Amino acid sequence: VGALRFPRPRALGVDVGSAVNLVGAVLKYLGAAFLFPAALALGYSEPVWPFLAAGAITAGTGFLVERVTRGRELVGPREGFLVVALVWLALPAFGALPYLLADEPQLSRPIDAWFEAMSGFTATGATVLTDIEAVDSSLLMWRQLTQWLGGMGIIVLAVAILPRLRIGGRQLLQSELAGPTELERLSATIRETARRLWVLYLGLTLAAIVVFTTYGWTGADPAMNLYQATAHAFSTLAIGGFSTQNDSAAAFAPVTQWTILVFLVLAGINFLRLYLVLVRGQVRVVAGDDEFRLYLAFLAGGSVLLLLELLGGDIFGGTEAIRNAVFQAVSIMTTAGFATADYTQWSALAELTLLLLMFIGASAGSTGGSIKVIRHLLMFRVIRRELEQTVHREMVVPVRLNASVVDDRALRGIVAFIVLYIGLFALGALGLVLDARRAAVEVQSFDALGAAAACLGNVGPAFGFAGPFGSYAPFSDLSTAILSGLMWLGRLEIIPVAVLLTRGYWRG
Amino acid sequence: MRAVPHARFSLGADVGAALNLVGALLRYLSLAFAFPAALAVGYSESVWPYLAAGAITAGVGLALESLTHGKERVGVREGFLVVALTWLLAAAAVSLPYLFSGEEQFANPLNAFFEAMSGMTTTGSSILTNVAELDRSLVMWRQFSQWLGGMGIIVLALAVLPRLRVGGRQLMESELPGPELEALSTSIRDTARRLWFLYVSLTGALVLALASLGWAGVDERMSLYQAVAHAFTTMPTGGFGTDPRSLEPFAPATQWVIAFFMVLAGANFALLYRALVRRKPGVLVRDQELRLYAGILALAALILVVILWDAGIQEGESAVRDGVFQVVSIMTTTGYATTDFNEWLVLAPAAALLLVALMFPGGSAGSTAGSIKIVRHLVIGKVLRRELDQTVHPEYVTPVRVNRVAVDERTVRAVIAFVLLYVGIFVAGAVLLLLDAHRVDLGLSPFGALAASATTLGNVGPAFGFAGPMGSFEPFSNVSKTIMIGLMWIGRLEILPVIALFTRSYWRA
Repeated sequence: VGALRFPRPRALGVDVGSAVNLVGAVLKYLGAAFLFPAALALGYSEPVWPFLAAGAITAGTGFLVERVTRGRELVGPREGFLVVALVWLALPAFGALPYLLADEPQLSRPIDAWFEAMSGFTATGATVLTDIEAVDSSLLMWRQLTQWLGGMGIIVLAVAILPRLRIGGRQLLQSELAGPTELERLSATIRETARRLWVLYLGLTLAAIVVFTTYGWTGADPAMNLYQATAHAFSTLAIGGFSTQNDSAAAFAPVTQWTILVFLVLAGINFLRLYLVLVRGQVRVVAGDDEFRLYLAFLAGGSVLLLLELLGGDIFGGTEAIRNAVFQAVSIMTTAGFATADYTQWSALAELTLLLLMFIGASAGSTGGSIKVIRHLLMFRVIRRELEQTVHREMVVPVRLNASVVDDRALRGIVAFIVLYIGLFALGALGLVLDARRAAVEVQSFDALGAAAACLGNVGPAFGFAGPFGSYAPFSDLSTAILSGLMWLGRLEIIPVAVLLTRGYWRG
Repeated sequence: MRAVPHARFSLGADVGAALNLVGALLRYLSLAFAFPAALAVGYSESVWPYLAAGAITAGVGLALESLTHGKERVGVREGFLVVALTWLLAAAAVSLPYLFSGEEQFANPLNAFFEAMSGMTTTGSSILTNVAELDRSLVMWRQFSQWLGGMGIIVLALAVLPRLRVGGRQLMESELPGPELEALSTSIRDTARRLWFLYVSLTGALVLALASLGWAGVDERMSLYQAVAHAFTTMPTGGFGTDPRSLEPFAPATQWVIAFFMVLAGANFALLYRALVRRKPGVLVRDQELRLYAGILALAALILVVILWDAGIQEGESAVRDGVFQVVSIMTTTGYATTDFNEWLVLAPAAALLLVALMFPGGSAGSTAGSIKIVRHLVIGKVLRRELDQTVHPEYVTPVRVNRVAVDERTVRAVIAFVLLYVGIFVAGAVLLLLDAHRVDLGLSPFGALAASATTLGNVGPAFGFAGPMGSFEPFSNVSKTIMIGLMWIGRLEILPVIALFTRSYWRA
C-alpha cells in the first residue's frame, strides 16, 4: 500500500520524471516513422492524413512530455525497468492511431487497434483482421513496419542514436534485448554495440529485399514485387510473422518460402555473435557456440518430427511434406508465425508438436521471442548438476557454457524466468477459458493453451479459430486485453515488468 | 544374482544391501494377504489366490534376504535403490491376486500390474470397466492396497526421504541427521509408529462416522463393508471406489464427511499429530504451508461453485457440494467423484481446465497426497520474490524462510530442480501418450493426453475423455499403460530418487 500513495519525490527510490522524460524523447522520434507509410499512401493515392495526423500527435505528445519533465535527462539503472515498460506501452498506443484514423472497419474498435499494434511492435504476428487484403496498402505497410521497428528494439535504436543514453544505456539495452547476453562481446561502448546491432539488422533486411525482388523480376515468383519484398523482409527479419496476404506465405512460390526460412534461421541467431561472423569473418564465434548448436538441433528435431507426422498421417507427400514440415517447424519455433499451410487441419499430434515448439524460441540476442534456447540449455545443465548432487552431496560442480563457468546468480535469474513464464502461461490460458465462458465464445481448452503460448511467446498464430489463416477477432474484449498483456510481458521477458510490482523497487 | 557378491568392488552403490532390505519389507508385506483371505472365507469366495500370493511374496522376500545374507548395512546411497525397488516389487506382489482370480478384466497381466501400481502409489486410476463385477474380497484387496500404500508413503515422506534430502519435508526440519540411514532406524521406527497410530486412528474414526450414517439411515447404501472400503482409500488420498460411478450413488452426508477427511489426509501428518494427539491446535494456524493449502482449496472451491452455478449445471446445495467435493478430491490427489466431471469438458471447459490445473498444487508435504506439494510452491514463490528484489538491489542478500526458519540454498535448488523436472516429465509423458495413441489409432485428444499425464504423475486418479472419473484407462494401449505405470511410480517417489538411479554418477564408486 505504501508504494501507491503519492509520496514526495524525495521518498521515492525511482526518478519517475526522468523515466517519463526519456519515453517522451523516444515518442518524439517515433513521429518520424509515420512518414514512410505517408509517402506510400501518396504514391498509391490512398488517404495520407491519418499518418500525418498520427505522426503529429505522437511527436507532439513526445515533445510535450519532454518539456514538462525538462531538466531530468539522466536515467539511472533503476529507471531502466520503468522506461522499458512504459515505452512498450506507449508504442502500441500511438502505433494504433493510423488504424483508428484511417477508418478501417476491421480495426475501428480501439481495443482491436491496440491489439494489432501491440502484436506489431512485439513482433508477435497475431491479428484480429479477418480479411487482410481488404486493407489499404499503405496501412498494411505500416503494420509491417511496426514489426520491423519492434523486432530489434526501439530502445536499442534509441541507445544507438541518442547521445544522452551514454549513461544508463546499458541497463536499458539489457532489459530490451532478448535473453541473457554478453554485451561486451561486440564493442567496448554500449552505444557502439547498439549501433552495430542495428547496422546488421538493416543490412540483413536489405539483403532480403534484394533477394525477394529478384525472384519477382526473374519471374521465379510472380506474386513478388518490390512492395511485397519490403513488407515481408520487414516481418521476416523481425521474426514477426505479419503478412500482407490472407494466405500468409502460402501466397508465394516455394522458392520464396525457402528463402524466408533461411532468413528466419539467420534472424534467430544471436546478433552479437552473428555480427562477428558476417562482418569480421570469425565463423567460429557462432559455429563453436553451445547455444547455436542446440538451436540447430532443435530446429532439425522439430522439422523431422513434424515431417514424420505429416507422412505418417498421409497429409502431404514427397517434397510437399518436407517443405511444409520444415517451414512450419522453423516458423513456429523461431516465433515468427508465417504459415504455408493450415496446420490446424493436420492432426492432434502435429498440433501438440507445434505447441511445444512455441516454448523453445530462438537464441538470446536475436529478434525472436519465447524462452530461448540458451535458457533451455542452462536449465538442463542445472538439473543435471542437481541430480549428481542428490547422490554426491559433497560434490560442487559449476555449470559451464562454452567452457566458461556461469555464475549462480545468472542461473537463478534464468530459473526464475522459466518458472514465471510457465506460471504466466498457465494463468493466461485459465483466464482465457474463464472469460470465454463468460462471453459465450466457443474456446476449447487446448486452443486457449495455444493462444496463451502463442502470445506470451510472441509467436502469433495459435489453434482453432486463431489458427494461421484465422483471426483473433472472435475473442472477447477482455480476452483481447489479456492477450495484449501477454505479448507485452513476453517481449520484455517478464522480469522488468514484474520488478515494477515489488515494493522494493519503489522504495528509496 | 551372481554379480551381487562382487558388487561392492565395482559399484558405488551396494546392490546387495539394498536387495536385502527390500526382501525384508516384502516378507512383512506377505502378512497383508491374510486380511482378504479371511474376507474370502467369510463371503465363501475363493481363498487360494490370496494364500498363493502371500506364499510367493514371502518366498521371494526370504530368497532375497538369504541370497544377500550378511549385507544388512544400508547407507544413504542405497536408500534411493531401496525406495525405488520397494514400490516396484510391492506393486508386483499386490497384482498377484488379480492375476490368480481369473477375473476377465485382469486377463491382460499389464492390467493387473497397472491396477496394483495405482493402488500402491495411492493414485486411483483404474483399468476396470465395471468394478461391481469383481468378488467382494478382491474389491476389498484393491481398497486395502491403497491403505497399505498410504502407510508406506507416511514412512517414506516423513522418515526416509528427508534423510535423502528429497521430498520437501526436509524444509521443515531445522536440523538434519548425519549420512548413515541405519543409525537412524530407531528414530525412523519411532516416527513411523507415532504417525501410523494417527493414520490408523483417523481411518477408524472415518469408518465409525460412515458406518453410523448407514446405521442412522441417512445413507442406506453405507454398510460396514462400504465404510471400511472407503475409509481405506480416503486416508491415503487414494480414490479407488466400490462402484463404477465412484461416490455418486452415496448420500450427500457421506460425501461431505469424506470431503472433510480428504482435507485432513492432505495435511501434514506430523503437524496433525502435534495438533490432535499432543493437543496443540495452535500449530495449525501458524503453519505457512497449511494456510496456503487451505487458501488454495477455498479459492478454487469458490471459483468452481460459481462456474457450475453460472453454467446451469448444478444449483443450490448440490452446486456447492459438487464444487467443493471435486476441488478437494482433485487437489488432495484423491480422485473420487460425485458427478461425472468429464461432461464439463463440453458444458463448462473452464471447470475442466481448473480441475487439471488443480492436479499440480498437491497436498502438504508429509501427507499421503502426491503431486508437487504446497510447500514447494511456497518456496518457489519466495524465491521469485527474492529474485525480483535482487534484480533491483543486487547487494540485497536474504535467505528464503518457511515458518521463520531459513531454508538452506542447497535445498532451495533441489526444490527448483524438482519442479522443473516435474513439469518436464509431465510434458514428456503427455507427448508420449499422444504419440502412442496416434500409433494405435486411439481417439485421444491433446487435452486428454495432458490430463492423463498429469493425473498419473500427480497420483490423482481420473483424467478426462474415456479415462474420466466414471470411465476407465482400459482403452489405452499396453505401451501407454506402461508409460503411465512409470509416471505413477516416479511421481510417488518424488522423482529425484528414481531419476538419480539413471545417472552414471550414482553407480560409480
